[in-house]
Amino acid sequence: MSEAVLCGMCNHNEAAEKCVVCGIDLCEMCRQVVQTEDISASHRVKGISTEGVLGPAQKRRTVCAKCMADTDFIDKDDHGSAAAETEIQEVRKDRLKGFKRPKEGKVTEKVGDLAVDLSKITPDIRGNEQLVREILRDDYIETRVKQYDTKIRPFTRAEDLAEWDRILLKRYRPLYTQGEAGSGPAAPNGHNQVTLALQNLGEHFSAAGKAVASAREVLSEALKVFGSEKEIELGQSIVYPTCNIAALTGFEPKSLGQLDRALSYAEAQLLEQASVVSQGGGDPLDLESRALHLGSLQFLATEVEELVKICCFESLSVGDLTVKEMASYPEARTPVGLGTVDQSRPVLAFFGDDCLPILYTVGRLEEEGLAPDIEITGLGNAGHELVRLYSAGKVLTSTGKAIKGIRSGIPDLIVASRSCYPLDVIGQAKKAGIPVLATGSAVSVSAPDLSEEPVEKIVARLKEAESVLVRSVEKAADAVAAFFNDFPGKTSKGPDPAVIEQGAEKCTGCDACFHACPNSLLISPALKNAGGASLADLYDRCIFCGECEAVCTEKIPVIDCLLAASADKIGADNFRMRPGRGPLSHLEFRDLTFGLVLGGNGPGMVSLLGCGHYPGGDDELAEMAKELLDRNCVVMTAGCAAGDVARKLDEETGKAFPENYPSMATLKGLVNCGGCSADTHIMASMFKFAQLGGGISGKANFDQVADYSLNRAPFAVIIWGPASDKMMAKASGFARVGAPVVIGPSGFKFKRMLVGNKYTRDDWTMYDGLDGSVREVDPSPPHLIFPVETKEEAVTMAIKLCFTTCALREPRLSTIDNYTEIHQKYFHELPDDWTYYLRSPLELHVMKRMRFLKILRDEHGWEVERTTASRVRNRNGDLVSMDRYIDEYGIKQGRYATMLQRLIMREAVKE
Amino acid sequence: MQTFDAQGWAQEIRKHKNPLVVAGEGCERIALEGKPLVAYAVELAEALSCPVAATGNIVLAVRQQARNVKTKKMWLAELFRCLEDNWEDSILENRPDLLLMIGYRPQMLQGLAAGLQQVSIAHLGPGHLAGAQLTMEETPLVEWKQRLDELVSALK
Repeated sequence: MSEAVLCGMCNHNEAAEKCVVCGIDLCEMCRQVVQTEDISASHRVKGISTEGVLGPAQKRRTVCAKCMADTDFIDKDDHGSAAAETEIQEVRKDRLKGFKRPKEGKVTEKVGDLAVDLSKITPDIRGNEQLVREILRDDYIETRVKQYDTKIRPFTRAEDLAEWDRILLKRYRPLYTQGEAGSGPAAPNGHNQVTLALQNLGEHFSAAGKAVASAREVLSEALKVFGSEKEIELGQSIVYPTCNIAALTGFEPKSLGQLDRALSYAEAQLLEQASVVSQGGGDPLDLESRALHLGSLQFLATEVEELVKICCFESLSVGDLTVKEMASYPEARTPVGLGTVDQSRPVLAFFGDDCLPILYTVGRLEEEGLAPDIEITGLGNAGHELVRLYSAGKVLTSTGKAIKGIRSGIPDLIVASRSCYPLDVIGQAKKAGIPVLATGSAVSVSAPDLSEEPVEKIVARLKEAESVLVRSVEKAADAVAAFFNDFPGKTSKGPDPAVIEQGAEKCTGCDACFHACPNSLLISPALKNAGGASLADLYDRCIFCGECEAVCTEKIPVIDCLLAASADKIGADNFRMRPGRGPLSHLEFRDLTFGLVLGGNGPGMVSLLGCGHYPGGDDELAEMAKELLDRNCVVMTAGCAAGDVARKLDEETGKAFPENYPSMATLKGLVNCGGCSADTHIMASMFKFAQLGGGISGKANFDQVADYSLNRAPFAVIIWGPASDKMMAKASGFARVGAPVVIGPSGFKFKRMLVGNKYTRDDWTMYDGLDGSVREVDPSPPHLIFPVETKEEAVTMAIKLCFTTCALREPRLSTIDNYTEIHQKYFHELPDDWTYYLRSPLELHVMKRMRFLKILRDEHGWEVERTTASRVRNRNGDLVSMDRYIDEYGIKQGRYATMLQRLIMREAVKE
Repeated sequence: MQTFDAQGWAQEIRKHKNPLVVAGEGCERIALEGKPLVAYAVELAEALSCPVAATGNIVLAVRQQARNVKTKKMWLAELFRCLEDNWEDSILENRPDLLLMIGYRPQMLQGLAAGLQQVSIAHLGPGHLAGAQLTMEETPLVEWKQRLDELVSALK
């Protein structure tokens, strides 16, 4: 038993503490307390003493009466005192107390009879405990949690998905198609790969930044008008409307305030990637993984934007319709093309990605009763946003061919907002005598800023065909209404036919235009009418980028020459489309899952996206769509591609092309989801497939969903004619969740592709999900982001990308049949790799089985008996029995397989 | 070698033992004074007794030009992926040591060409391709045709 220490001051009472200055022992009676407060900013908030990161701001110290009298506690640097230092150390020792993560087993949630340790299944449970509990309760059952190593990653960070990204990037290695160094061994010490990966990340950051800013703009406006409690409700047919948000954050927003939370997460992640871009250097695979993450964030942002547009701005959506009603809704009555405009009336054209100017301006024109007398149109994405908000709207051109719409001189006034496509709208409009009213907070143009001027002054300038900037979209709407209320008559002018002759005289035949043309058009011979293609022929092949004019030393207005030579073609540019219908219904997803993943009546779901930067008139996309629809594919579109898909009339019926197909996500269905941001509804399919087909949670469970989709969902995207870097980030977003992408015909202009090598067999492996063994599998899908040169290549590759490793017999049969058939149709030979995907003669179409078996016997050395193969040539070149072949190669029908080690079944469960 | 000299180019090309003509979409669309580029691709392959890797849609056009030239439908990005890895493709048993690229814009090949180490590139388009061992400067179409004619003659 230790002896009690007496107080050094009174020598009577038992000491309880020591003086922090001199160290003398003190009893309760003799001790005195001095209270000080740290005045540094980090410790004080509005005069209140707070607990700061470095310790408590308010300090209470025990001292003796002598030290109390002698010591200046305010001025003296008491950090020098040994006793004080000891106390500070004590405080510091505990300062991270509040930061520590809970120990294993301390935070649990019961799933059935199983207590799940939340700290084990989540990277950081702090702040997310409630959310993770809810996800477990809603989406998991005891058996599932026992089966494998469950992970829930709320508010997923790039590094949370690094394992999945690296699996993809190992198989589908980056192929750099732009820059000074390539992806191969020529890049010494990885340095050049780092540079290229960093540039690629920078481009993705720019693209995702545009999408996030766009979403923030509409969400902020909605919050101002409707408040944060405004409900997110898409209608009775839409279940789980927020797949992209839920996949990354783990929650499904039910109100504008919750959308704000989701978008704030995206903004924070965006800034984190920005800091990586600005650091420079790094590991190329880490940089590529972050680029993929930005692709995912872009879809989250566009989902936020779409939900606001539908729920707050009443943008068209079919959520309240029954599935039966959806098949023919909306009707294909929306005019598409320059030839749809009645030029005897005033023409207003919107350009850009901001829907607020459209919302306000059309609203004001309707209020004032002006709308019925005006042709209200949109160029590119603005057109597709317009027609979802205003049923009498028209779509003039795709974004990539907006120059054609402007230089045609058809619009009398252009309202321009920020755009992802770098186009000098004011410069181009000036050439056609059209005034531009630029508006919105993020627009940047070279025009006088009249934001503070009265509407009358703005209108006066517009009537002089001068372009102006007005930041407020409300004020801009007032100005547009005033402009058309007292319409000054047309100041715009189309191209004068005399330009052709003048151009021919000026042309020196230097062919600088040929070298600048992304489509290698022979402009000079056409201009001089020197044989070969005429100017009118070139009109069909021109993508209207304006590069030829920019490099012409003689300043020949080449675009005017093409337009002047093609007046009849402009008049014939008159089609009808269905406006965007918004998200897919739950029943459609169910139908698709059974039709494509579990059934096999078509190769897959192919989405057509793009900005119109492709040659071939405007009907290449329509031709691709027809080819795919004829093959029983589900074809989804959004943005400018949706308008171009409609640029075809059915040859037999004379009907608008989309009228021939149900507006539903079903086999042979053709769906237009809406403007550029509406492709988020297409992306949602990937999550839905996994939820419905595999019973996999879509909340904060990205990699498991992607593992399922990549290996089971026959889904491909064709991005045709991309003009904006946003398309590259979209491609990355699709690829990361297992939807392979074909880019063309200008795909090579992007920096990075993700290309597999079917010959490198080590790349094509999966885990058997039951025994954990590594199995060689077929090269499916062969690529993740792949550039092509022609539309025939695009469609063929899209079909090929629908191959999935775990495909059941019927889907595999359908894909093999379509792949071999389309390859022969376009390239007049069988593909060199079709046998890699064949697992059994039963996967050959019954009508073609004998022919293919003969080919397998004669060209591949298979041993064939009647209608089946007795021995098969495997990839080592050995002849083996069919049983052995299936046993050694690929995933057996219906067998569970995965690319993620953590998803291999646990021993205990298997027993 | 950036300054075009038909004999010099032919000599340089002849140094390679395993050349491959790679013909792209432009071969079908571009005709120089009526002669399609694909005809040049085939003439080069015949002169060098090598196959034509036909990308884009041009495999049929190559076959129609000359049935005795070995050709196959290939995909440009897959070809370059294979060239970076261990070579394996039925178009050529061994890795080609020279690619004669025709029917592509230099901008399209820029990054792909720079990534190759064991393979030389002769770019036969009328524009500069960084990283190619043989490449031309930007030339008018008339001159481009002359150069292609001279090169084919020099290789025969």
